[in-house]
Amino acid sequence: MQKITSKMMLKLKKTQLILLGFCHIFLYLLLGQWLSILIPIPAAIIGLVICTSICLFLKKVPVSLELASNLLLKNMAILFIPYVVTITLYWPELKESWLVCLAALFLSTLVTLAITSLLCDKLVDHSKDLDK
Amino acid sequence: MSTLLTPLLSPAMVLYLAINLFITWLVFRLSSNLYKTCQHLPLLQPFCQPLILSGLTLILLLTLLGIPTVDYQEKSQIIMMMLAPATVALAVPLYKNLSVLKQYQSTIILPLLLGAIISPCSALLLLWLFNVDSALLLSMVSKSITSPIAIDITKLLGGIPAIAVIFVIISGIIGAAIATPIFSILAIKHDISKGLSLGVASHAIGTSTAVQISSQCAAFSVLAMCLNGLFTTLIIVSFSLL
Repeated sequence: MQKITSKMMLKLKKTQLILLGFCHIFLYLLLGQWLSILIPIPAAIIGLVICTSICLFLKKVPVSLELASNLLLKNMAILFIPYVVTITLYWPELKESWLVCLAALFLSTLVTLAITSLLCDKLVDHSKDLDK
Repeated sequence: MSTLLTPLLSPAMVLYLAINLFITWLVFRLSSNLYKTCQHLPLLQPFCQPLILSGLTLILLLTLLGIPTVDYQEKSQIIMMMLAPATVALAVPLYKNLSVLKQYQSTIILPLLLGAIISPCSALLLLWLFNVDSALLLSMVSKSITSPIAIDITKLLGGIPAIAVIFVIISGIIGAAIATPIFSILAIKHDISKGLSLGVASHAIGTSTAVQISSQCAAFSVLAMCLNGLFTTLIIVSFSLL
């Protein structure tokens, strides 16, 4: 039989913490689900707000929650693959106007980047002048 | 929930789900490795986004094996189900960067709101001018919001989540690609403004560019990304209540 080393214990401990973190997340999600009956905001977003408020209340992020959320956020891209694949189902709708869509995406990203950064730069300069 | 769990009862279905999950994971792993090896080719890299690469590979695989896309979609419910916890997990980066908001409250709120409004409105205006189908218009609203929230918003509006995700990814790639030249043309001095505009215009993919500029830039980018999502959701929900 394999001997239990300290490294294995550490790994076990980390797995336990991640599971606990998932309990945190699912608890907030459940609360969000209940609240979304009252307010028509998507459950996950209410969960996000509840989770942030709990961190604000505790004044820190629990280690378990941090480990679980790191795991989720690092691998988040994989969750969108089914959506990307099902794009083939909607191709008829996109066929006529994909070029317009692409142009709109490009232009609006350009405009947003330019206006937001210029305005923010002005405001930062302004507040620095006030400080002096 | 019950409709999601009923197929799990049959053992053959469990096997299908497991195989589906494994193949999706494997394709994603391979394409993100390819993305990393492309790092020496800065021109090619944005187009090798792992998500697009693995999506194309899976589409090719499905057509070669003759599997209907609807079947794949049905069997990948378990992957899509994890999106809600991933949205909640965004709370951790949001909380960590909230101190930044307190410090610069007066300076960043206005550009944040302006960016959150301009970004969908300018795109919608262009689509509307060209008489584009309304389903596409509704999927365009969430184009610069981080994908898990974008999917929720699109469902709320009655758009098509699959198209919304594609739009989100594309605007992320465009933002990441054009940000550096734009900042040098406009002579943007502060990292605060760079991070903020990247976060508002191109969410997580923009944030990955902001990380390369500085850690302050990254903090503002993450903050802008999360607040943009929350803000847009609030606006849409309040409109739908009217």
